[in-house]
Amino acid sequence: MRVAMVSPYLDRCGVARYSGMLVKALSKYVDVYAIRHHRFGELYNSYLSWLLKRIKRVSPDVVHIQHEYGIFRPFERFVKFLRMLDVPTVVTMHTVGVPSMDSAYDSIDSVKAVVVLNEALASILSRFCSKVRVIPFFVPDVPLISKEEARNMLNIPQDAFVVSTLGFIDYRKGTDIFLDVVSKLEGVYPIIVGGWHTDFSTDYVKNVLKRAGELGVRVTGWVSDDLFYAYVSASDVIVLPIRAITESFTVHVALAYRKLVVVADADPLRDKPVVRCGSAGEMVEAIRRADELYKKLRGDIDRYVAERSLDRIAKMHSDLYSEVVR
Amino acid sequence: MRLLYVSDFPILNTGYAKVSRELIYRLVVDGYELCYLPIAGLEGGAFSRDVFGAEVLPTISSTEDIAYWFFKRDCDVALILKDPYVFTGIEKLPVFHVFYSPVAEEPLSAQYKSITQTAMYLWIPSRWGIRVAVAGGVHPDRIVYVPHGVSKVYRRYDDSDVEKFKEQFGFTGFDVVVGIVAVNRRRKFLPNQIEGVKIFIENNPDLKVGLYLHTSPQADNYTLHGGWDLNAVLEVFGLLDITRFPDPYLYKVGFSEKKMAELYNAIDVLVNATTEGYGLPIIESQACGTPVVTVEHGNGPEINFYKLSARVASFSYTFVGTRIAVPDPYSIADCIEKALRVPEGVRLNIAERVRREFDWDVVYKHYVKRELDRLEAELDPKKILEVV
Repeated sequence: MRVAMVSPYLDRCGVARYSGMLVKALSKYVDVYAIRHHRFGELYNSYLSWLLKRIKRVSPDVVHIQHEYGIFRPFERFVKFLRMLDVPTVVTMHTVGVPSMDSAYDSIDSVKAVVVLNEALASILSRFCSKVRVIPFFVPDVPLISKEEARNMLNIPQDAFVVSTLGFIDYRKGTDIFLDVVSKLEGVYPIIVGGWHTDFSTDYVKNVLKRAGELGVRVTGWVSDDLFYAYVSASDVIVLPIRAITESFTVHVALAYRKLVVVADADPLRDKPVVRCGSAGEMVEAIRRADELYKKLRGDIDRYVAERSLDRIAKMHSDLYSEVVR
Repeated sequence: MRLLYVSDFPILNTGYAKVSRELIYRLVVDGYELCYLPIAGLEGGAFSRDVFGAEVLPTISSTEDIAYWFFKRDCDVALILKDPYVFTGIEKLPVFHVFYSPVAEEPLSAQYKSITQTAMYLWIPSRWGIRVAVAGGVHPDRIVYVPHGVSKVYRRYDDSDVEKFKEQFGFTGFDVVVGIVAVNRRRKFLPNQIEGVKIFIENNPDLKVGLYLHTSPQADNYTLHGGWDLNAVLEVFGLLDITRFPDPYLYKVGFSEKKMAELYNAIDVLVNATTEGYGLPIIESQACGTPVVTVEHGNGPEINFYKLSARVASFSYTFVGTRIAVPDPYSIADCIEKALRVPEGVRLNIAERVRREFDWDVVYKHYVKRELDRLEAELDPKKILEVV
C-alpha cells in the first residue's frame, strides 16, 4: 500500500509536527511518501498542478491530506484540488466549522473519509458531512528526560514549583489568561514556552511580553523540539487557558510525561484526563490543589497514554487506508 | 532536484553575476537541473537561451514571475541570490525558496525580515550578518552561513608579470598604488575613502603615490543609489593627476576574472573601508597577495586576515533607519601605512590561506552542496521521513 501524505512538513506549526510524527509511525504499516505542502500564500492554480504532479509521481494507492483552513486557502481551490485527485483520498480536518468547506466533501467522489481527532469535532462536522471518522490524536513518543535532568539543563531550580504554558503566544491560546493566573499565585516559577508563527510579532505578542516582563515570567520564545520536551518534563503543572481549540499536541506531550494539565473547559478536551476549569480563578484554585488532583488523575493518565499510543493510532490509519481502497 | 536560480545574469559586472558564474556551472556539473531566471542583463537580447547548461528564461519583470516559472518549469526550490528588497511580495507566493543574501546594514530592516519570512532558509555569507539577522528576530534555525568564494585565477604572479600589469594599468612612475574597487554609489563613501588616501599621501610626502579607482567617474543611477562626480571630488582633493580609472567601456562590460587578478597584483594595497555584506574584492585582493584595508563594521573584519580595519567615524542612516559605517579617513591612512609594511612572506601566507579556504570548489562542496542536500532531504517524499 502506497500512501502519499500531504502536509506542511517541517514548518513551525502543529499540523506539521503532527504529520511528521504520524508518517514516521505509519512507515511500519504502509509505504508512505511525505509530500510537502507550502503553507504560506494562496493556492495558485499552477501550484495545485505542481502539487498534483508530486503526488502522482509516487503513484499512491491513497492520498491523505492534513488539512487546516489557514494552510489550504481559498477553500474553493482546495475543493478544486480534491476533484483533481483520482485516487481514494482521506482528509484529516484539524479544525472544523466552516460549513461551506465542511459540506463540500460529500460531493467529491475521491474523498472517501474525513478524519477528525475527537468526538467533539465529529459532532460538528457530522452536521455537514457523512464521511466523518474519528481517529484520536496520539500520545507522542517523547524523549526520556527526568524532571531533575530537564531542570539542570534549563537552569531551573530543583525546588521550584514550575507552572508553564506551552505553544504559540496567541490570543486563542489564552497566553494573557495564563498571566492573569500566575499573577494570583505566590511562590511559583512561571514559564511561557513559545514564540510566534513567523519572525514577526503582533501587538498581542508585544503586550504579553511586556506584562510577562513585569510579572517576572520566563519567556523562552520559539524552542526546538528537544527544549520543548525538556520544558514539559521540568514542569509541575501545565496550564492551557485556551480560548479556541480543536485538539492539543501539548496536552498529549504533557500526558506522555504524566503531568497534571489544567485547561480551559473546551469540548475537545472532555475525553482527556485533565483538570477543566471555567475561569482563571478556577485555574488558580486547581494549581493550589495540584498534589491532590494529580493523585486522583494518575491512574486515568496511565490508561489514556496506553490507549492513545502513536503506534496504535498509526495502525488505525493503516486500517482506514485498507478500507478506502477496497 | 530542479532549481529555479534567480540572480543577475552572469555577463553583468556585479558581484551577484560573479558569484553566479561560479555557482551555475558547478550546479549543472553536479547534476542539478537548472532554470536561470535573470534579474537583469538580457535587456539587449541576443544572448543564448542556455548558459553553462542551464536554461535561460526571459528577464524577470515582477516578483510573480518567480512563481510563474517555478511552476511552469516544475522546479523543486528557488534559489535567489540577490538583496531581498528586490522581491517584495514573495512571502505571499506558494514557492519553496531560499534567499542567498547578504546583510549589509544594521539593524535588520523590517522590510528584509518581512520579505524573507516564508523562505525555507536564509543563506547569509557573513557571521556578522547572521548576528544582525538573529538580533533582528530571524530564528537561528532558518539561517545558514554560506560564504562566497574566490576563483582560482586570483593568485600572486611573478614580479616580472606584476611589472607588466603595472604598466598596462598606467601605474609606472609611482612608488605605491592604492586601489579602490567599488561601485559609485552612496553606500560606498568613496570621497571618505579617497580622503584616507589623501591623508596617507600628506603623511608620506617623499612617496610617489598613485590612486586607482575601479569604478565609474559618474554615478550610474544617482536617483536610486546616489553617488558622486568623482572627477570633481578628486579635483577638490587635488588628486586628479595621480588617479587612474579603468577604460569606461571595459568597466561597463566588466573586467574578466583574470584581468581583475592582474589588477590586484598591480596595486600595493586595496582600500575597501565600507560596510559590506560580503565584500568579494576583499578576498580576491588577499588571494593575490595584496593587503586590504577594511572598516570595523560589516563582514570586512571577518575576512580581512591582515586585521587592518579603519575605525568607524560615524554612521550613515538609510531612509528606514538602518545604518552603515562612515570610515575615519585618518584611520584609513594609518592602515595603509601598516599594510605597506607587511612582509612579503606574510602576504604570501595569507594569499595561500585565502585560496585554500575560499576556493569556490571548497565553498561549493562544504557549504552550498551541503545545504542543497539538506533542501533535497526536506523536499523529497522519502528522504524527508528521516528529518521530520
